[in-house]
Amino acid sequence: MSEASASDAVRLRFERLVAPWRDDLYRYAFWLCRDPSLADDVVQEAMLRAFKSLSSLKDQAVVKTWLLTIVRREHARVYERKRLDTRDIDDLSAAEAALIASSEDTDIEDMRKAIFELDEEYREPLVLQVLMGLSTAEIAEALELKQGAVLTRLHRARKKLVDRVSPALGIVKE
Amino acid sequence: MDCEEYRQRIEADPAWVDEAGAAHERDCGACAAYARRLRVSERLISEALRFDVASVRERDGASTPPRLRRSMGTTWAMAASASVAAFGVWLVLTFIPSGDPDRLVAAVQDHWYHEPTSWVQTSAPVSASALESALTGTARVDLDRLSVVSYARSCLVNGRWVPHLVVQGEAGPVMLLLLSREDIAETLPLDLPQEGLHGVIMPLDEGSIAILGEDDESLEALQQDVAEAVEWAI
Repeated sequence: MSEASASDAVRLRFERLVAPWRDDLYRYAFWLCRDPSLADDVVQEAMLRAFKSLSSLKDQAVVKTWLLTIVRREHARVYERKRLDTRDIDDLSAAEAALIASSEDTDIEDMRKAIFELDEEYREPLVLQVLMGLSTAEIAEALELKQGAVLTRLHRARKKLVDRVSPALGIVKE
Repeated sequence: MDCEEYRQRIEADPAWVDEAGAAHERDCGACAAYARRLRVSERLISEALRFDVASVRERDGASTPPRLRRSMGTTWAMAASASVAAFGVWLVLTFIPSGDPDRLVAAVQDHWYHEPTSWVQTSAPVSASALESALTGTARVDLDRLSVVSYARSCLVNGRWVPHLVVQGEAGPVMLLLLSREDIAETLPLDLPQEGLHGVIMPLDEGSIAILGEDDESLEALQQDVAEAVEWAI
């Protein structure tokens, strides 16, 4: 195979395997860092890394968890490089406020605000489970936690969300 | 299984069901009702998490000054570049404006590697606001003279902020960099043979336009279309 056609093959493989995940990876990065521009940067860098190391992906079935790991690492690098401060959960940025208000459904608005207010340790496993469809075992592996700890965090995350939005949903707290 | 154990388990995963859980749900009306409501809230969580990416990007682009936003991106682009090529070379190519044609060609070639996600064959056009944000203050583009513009960003190339567009050519995506302040005397070849790409940087009035497409993309027709479509705004 010539150099050019090998390069074509890599690009085609990238488009087929990786590109379809771009929006979900952006959402994941956004829920991690709560900043649209930063999420863009994280995904951009992650895509670049994925493009360059695509040959290391032997099993296509694990592409989603492979990409999530890259995004997660890139997010950590971004914070390390920039030494970003952890943001106060009460201090919603203009972008967060805009996202919350972007839905015409007030229940979704309330839920987004509640998700923003979750601590990262609760928000991330929830996003991985609901948005990315990972099993608790996969989440445990990705976050380097025991499965029991993941279940506890998921349970607490939902409890906090339900407590926060329960009046609107008619869920009776007992 | 008691109520507390059941609720902890279902709160960890509302889709969860096993024999003991199903039995408890049958026997305990309160827990069954709780599970139903939790599943309603689960749909809401899912919808809340799955926001529309394009509109969030658009909103962010509209609410943040482009230069400020790009300067943040450039910081990360710098870091990524260090793993692609020598950091110093990239720094010079990216940040220091130069009238040297060789350096301009190298900076454009280098930039292609920075945005692999833009290199997609698609029929979906970029949003009008993203296009406008990328072009503001630099150029006007007659979209009727071009095929689908699928990507638009303002990028730092050779020390200057320039609109980076991707249009869909006959053979695949084509990168256009609108270099309004890069005055060149003649058309420069712009090839990346290792990537199967070829192109040119062609003069246009007091500026120039870089065009880079697949090897089998017909450049002459594209050059003419682009020259007719672009008008400098400065």
